[in-house]
Amino acid sequence: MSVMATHAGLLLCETCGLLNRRPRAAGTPLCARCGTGLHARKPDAVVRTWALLVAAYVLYIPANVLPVLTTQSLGEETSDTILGGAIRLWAQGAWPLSVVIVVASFVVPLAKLFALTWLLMPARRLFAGDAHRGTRLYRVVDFIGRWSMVDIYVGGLLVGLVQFYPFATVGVGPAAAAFGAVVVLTMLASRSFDPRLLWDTPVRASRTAPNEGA
Amino acid sequence: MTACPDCDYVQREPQCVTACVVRCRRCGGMLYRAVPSAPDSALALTLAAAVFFLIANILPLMTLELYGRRTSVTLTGMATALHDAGMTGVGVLVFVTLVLMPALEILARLHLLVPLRIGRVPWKIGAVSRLQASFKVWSMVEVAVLAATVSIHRLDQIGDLDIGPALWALGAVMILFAATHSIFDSRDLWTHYARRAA
Repeated sequence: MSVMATHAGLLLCETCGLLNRRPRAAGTPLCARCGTGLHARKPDAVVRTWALLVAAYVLYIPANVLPVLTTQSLGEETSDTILGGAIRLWAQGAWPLSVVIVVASFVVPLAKLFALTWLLMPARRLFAGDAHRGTRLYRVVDFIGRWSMVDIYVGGLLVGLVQFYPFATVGVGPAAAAFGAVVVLTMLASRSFDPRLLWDTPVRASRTAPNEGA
Repeated sequence: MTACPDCDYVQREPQCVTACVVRCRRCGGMLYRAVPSAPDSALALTLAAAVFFLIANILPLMTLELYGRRTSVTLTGMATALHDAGMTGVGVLVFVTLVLMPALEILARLHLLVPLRIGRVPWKIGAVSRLQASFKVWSMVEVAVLAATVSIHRLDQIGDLDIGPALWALGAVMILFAATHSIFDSRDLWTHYARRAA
């Protein structure tokens, strides 16, 4: 059976990659080479990830229900939600852009929320074979999160440029703040999760098995 | 010996002669990248990125003209426009991810690489390489380039749109950052320091 650093009394430094021997003394040990605080697993990973995730779920609702952009032209004001803006782009024939917005602003954040929830499900850890799949999923989640910022930057560019009162002005709606918070919270959530937890249960189970048989 | 940061599997590190990416034998996670000339190349790429980043911050990203009136926006201008529109929090987020973090990422990398070039060990090397990794996570230049591409279509419908030099510079920063990230690895850096010190 494979050996995990924790079971061998070793701690990996995530900054410089040195394997440190776990000291007897209490408190957070520091890496012998670069001085980074060492943890066998990220501290309170499950609780922290859950807390950030729940906050992100809550804010995902206003982010999609409230208007994200308000356009004003000759006294006429229209406001769009994230999906509404994408539908408008589609209707204008700009479907590639519409797809970018739907994927980056709607699908990715939701997929991220579901993926992290699935990774946190305690029942899931009963299936040993899931560790490979879970780790792969985690790496995807951790990589794609930043791309959701697209809509925020588009908003910044439009608001910065389209200021031609009374012909055309663009303003941001409250959804922008909620959406920005969702992106930051899900990024923090994926960073506080520790994929090594996915590998813990199966290994521990196989280590205790011989003792139980004896 | 090393362990995988993703699954904690203890394994022997293969010795690579040329450039290589070392992956975990159990879960396929990246253990580290080792590129023989990485510090020098990364330094050159980072210096170039610093110059382009400066241009990207000073000049306008885009200029829009409607009925003889012109508006233009810079990177910081995006943040202040959001602040003026009553979205200070979003403005701060834009400033942090597009101006502050990329700038700190560049500075941290220079701090790590310049001393190595002249044969010294950087001050507070552990803390700076830790910080460099977090700066990298929150600096989102490439996402802003995608956003600019997306908004070109929308803005073009409103008025006459001109792409400013800063957007091209930002595109250059994106490519230089991607090239740097593909060869520079803070773990590999320690091997180079050890070699220098020996």
